[in-house]
Amino acid sequence: MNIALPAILLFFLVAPGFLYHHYSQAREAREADMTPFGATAIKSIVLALIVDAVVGLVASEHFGYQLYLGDALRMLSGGAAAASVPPHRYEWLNEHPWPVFGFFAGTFGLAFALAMLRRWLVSRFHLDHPNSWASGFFRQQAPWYYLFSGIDSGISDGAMVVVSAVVPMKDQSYLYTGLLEDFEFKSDGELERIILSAASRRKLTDDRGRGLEEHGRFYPIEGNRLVIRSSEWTTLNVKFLVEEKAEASAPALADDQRICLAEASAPALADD
Amino acid sequence: MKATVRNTVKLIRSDPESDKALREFIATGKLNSTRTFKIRDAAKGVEREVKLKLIPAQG
Repeated sequence: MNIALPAILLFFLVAPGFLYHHYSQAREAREADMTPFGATAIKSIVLALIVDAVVGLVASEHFGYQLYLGDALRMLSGGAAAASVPPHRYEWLNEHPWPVFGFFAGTFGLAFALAMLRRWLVSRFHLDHPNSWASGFFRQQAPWYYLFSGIDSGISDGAMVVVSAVVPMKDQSYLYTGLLEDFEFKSDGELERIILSAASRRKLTDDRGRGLEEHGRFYPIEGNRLVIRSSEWTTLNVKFLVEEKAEASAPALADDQRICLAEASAPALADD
Repeated sequence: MKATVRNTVKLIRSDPESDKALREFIATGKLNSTRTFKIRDAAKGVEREVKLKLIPAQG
């Protein structure tokens, strides 16, 4: 069985860059990132070369190892070039296998540590916020992620997203509103669909001749999940629902008093 | 990709009448308005108030 040793070596040399790319951003941001693969690959390879150089430098300066770059290139070239590497180099590998594993462990470990450091710096100093001086470097091409996560709005963690979407149907349009539960992307990073809970809808034509304070025209949609595809809506409005701390804890309540709306003027939804 | 939904909202939604009230608040509540819900956490055996507020997505 022939094993493409040069390809395997090359993979181990560039893999730290892709490891860094994978762990340097939150999974949500990574999934929403629309950066072309070519740009990502170039960044990853460049970073891998830097990490390899740093670990190699540390190994030679602090541990006394010498890098035989010419022999390494011959091994990566394969074929006759690999055969021209002096045999005692291979014999040294037989006698000292751990430095090789140590080198690759060092590059992978350094890449992972840099990725964690980057995530911490971005999170701690909001470096991906549009107003940050470093946003050009740290901000990713993931606009929907930044919108729905509240990062662009400066909203703390835990804010829930309320979405209103206008959906045209035949001769009239409906306004759907609800709590955003889930959203999915197309392969190009654009929104593919949103999934709402606690959803309601109303006809936009019901607005005619009615005051803004009249809310009875909304009616709830049965079920726990409402899926709306991006091809179905024309506009999307986003606001956030945040939890504020109550001033005092409530005493035990009777069953018929479990729900209490503080705003006595709030009208009830019309049942459909 | 999952969006954030806090556990308190799940508790509100577990009660049919609270769920209806939440739908109404989401649909008709004005920006920066708050509404208080009283929920019962069966797991902890306590009842408490939860105040929710609608805020705009300011860039």
